[in-house]
Formats: sequence, C-alpha cells, structure tokens
Amino acid sequence: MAHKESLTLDTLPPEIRDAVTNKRISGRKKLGRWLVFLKTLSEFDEQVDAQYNKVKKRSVGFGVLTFVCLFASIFALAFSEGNLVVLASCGSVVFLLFVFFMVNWLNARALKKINLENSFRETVLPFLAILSEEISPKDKITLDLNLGDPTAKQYKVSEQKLPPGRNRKLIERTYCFPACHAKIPLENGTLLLLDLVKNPVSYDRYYRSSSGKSKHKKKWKLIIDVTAGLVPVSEEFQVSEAEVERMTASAKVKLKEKKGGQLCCLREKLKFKSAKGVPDENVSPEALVEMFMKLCTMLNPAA
Amino acid sequence: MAKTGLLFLRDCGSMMINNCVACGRPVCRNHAIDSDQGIVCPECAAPKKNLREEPAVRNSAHRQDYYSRYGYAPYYYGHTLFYSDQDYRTFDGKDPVQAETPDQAAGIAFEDDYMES
Repeated sequence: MAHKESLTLDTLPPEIRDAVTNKRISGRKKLGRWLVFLKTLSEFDEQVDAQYNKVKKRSVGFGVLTFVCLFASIFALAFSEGNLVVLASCGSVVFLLFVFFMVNWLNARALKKINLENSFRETVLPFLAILSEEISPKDKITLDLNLGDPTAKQYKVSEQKLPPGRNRKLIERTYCFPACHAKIPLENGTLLLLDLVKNPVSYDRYYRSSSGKSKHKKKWKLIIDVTAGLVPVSEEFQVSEAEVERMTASAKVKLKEKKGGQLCCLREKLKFKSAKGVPDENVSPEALVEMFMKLCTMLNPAA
Repeated sequence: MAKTGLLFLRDCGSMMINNCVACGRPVCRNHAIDSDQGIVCPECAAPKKNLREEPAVRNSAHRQDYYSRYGYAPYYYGHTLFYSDQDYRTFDGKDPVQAETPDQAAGIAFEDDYMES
C-alpha cells in the first residue's frame, strides 16, 4: 500500500519538495516569487495538516476498538468454553481492527514527518501580503524560515527539576526555536527586520492522587519573542530620540547607530498556555503591522 | 490619484484617465473601480462590501481599518490635491504643493477645504 506521503510529494515542484524534506527555507527572492512559493507550500501544508488530523483520529479510534474487542473476545471465549467458531470469529475481528489501527498509525507517522511548522503560513505569508503594496518590487527579500518541530531534541536548551511542592517531582524543559528571520526592503528604501523565536516550555508533574495512585500531567507554555526592526533612509528620515524615550516607558525599544544608518528595534513577548500539547497559536500578522506602525511613529523627516 | 502603501503612503504614479464621481479625485486605469454610481476611487469604494473583491479596494479598506484601529498617521510622499481625513502628516511643516502635471494645473482648481473620503 503506497503511503500518501510519497504520492503528494511527487506532485510538488523540486524547490518546494526540498523545503518540505529539509524543513527549512532560506534565500533571497523578489516579493512576487516569495508569495507564489509560500502560497503553494501553504496549500500543501494545509492538506497535510487536515489529513494528519483525520488519520490520527482514525488510528486512535481503531486502537480503542481493538482493545475493547480483545477484552470482549476473552469474555466470549470464557463463556463459550473455548468454542473454535467463537475463537475464529473473535480472532479475525480483533486482527482486522489491529491491522486498520497499524495502517492508520503508520500513515500518521509518515504524515508527521512532512508536516511543517505553521508560523510561515499563519504569520509570514499574510504579513507579506498585507505589505505587498509597500514592499519594493525590484529588491529581494531575505527570508530564513525554520519549518521543523519546535519541541525536537536539538532545540532543547534546558531541563531542570523545580521544587516539587505538593508533587513528587516537577520537571521543566525549555526549548528555543528560531522560527523566522526576515529582511524586507520597502519601496522608499526603508528596511524592515523581523525576528520570531518560539520558546515552548513544558512542565511534567508527577504526583499521587487522593486514592494513592501515581499520576502524571504535562502542561505547556509557549512564549513567542518578536523583534521588529526598522532602518530608515538616513537622507529622508531620522528616528526621534524623544519618541524613543517616551515609548521606552511602556515598551522594549532600542535605538542603535549602525554603519548603514539608525536601527530602531521593538521587542514584544506573547504568551500562550495549553494542557493538551504545545499551544498552536502564532503571532497574528495584524500584531506585526501594529509593531511596525509603532516604529514608524518614531520617525521624523530628516533635517 | 489613488494612494498605495500602508506604513508610508505615496501616489500610484500611473496616468489618470477619469475622475471619481464621489470625491472628484483623478483615478488611473488600475485603480478605477466600476460601481453603481460610476467610476469611483478605491477610498470611496472601500466602505462598500460588494466592491471588496478588487485588490485595490481591499488594500484601501485594510489601510483605513489599520489606521483607525491603531491611530496611525502615515507619512505621505505624494503631491495630490485631494486629501482625506487620514492625511494628517502631509501638513507637518510643509508648504502647499502645486499641481505636478499640466493636466492637473489646467483642469483642477486648488481647493482650500479637505476632501473627505
């Protein structure tokens, strides 16, 4: 039985197939080419997500049914005192259910390998579309997108035992996943810089219930570190230090003098929580637009 | 002339072919929107939901939405004589501008009042 994974990948252009296989996009292209590329990749990822959720539910369903039928078969056999007909029919039902469970489970595993991290299609692509009139059509946009799993082992930065309190054990694991780094040149020469870093944190809690049973619960927290930067054209604009000082009271703003001109950065942290796996929220493109608007309000025409 | 951009506004720069029937501003072929009343500019078409399939109208509607939501006043590079209620920065320390093209100078009178979209 051919995996759905190989059927779908074969129909993709080579560039997109590479992005899916390597789980990384890195390069410099003009806006039009990026939009076409990311849109095709986004459509593929949406299909994979939908299929993965469907197949995962089926595998769980068949798994549960297999166990239920197995226990029911044991009781049936006990009551029928080892009747061969009952044994054959129960055995074939359990075997069939187990085969369906394994097929769906293997399909889900295969689809998980080609499933991409969603921030490129929920944040980056709509953000580029919103700014499409603003972005220079002649200059190239530099994008470095990480499409892997944020909770993969290579992104784990720390694992520590916290004071357990009323629990037997409490372990905190922190990951650092650089999701996106972008340099976007605008038509008036201004350069926008965007950096997204996802920091999933898991808390494994081991405790005893009131009835004395050992139990385990896992909670997740996601902190997305967003840094928006603006390098204005020095002949036209300069960053107002008074505005920067005013904004510093309520936001993390920094002004640096670089070789190419002034660099003004705004940094925000967005937090999400979940008790059912890693939170799947992403930064909304509107939130990014708001951050860049805040940076632009700090500009004054150059003297 | 229709405005383009979001963080920094500028005129679209294309040749004008007609005037908007609602506000009178000149529109080019790319930004002329067919409505029940006639040819309108994207700013006048933006409040009408049935016209938002046009990319220029959609961009204009998004622009108005972001400006009103975040209270943002963009820097404007253009020289159009037609101002909407969002063109505040145009008047920061700048002198009134003259019409750029002979068509503008000949056909359109300079108006002292703001033209609200």
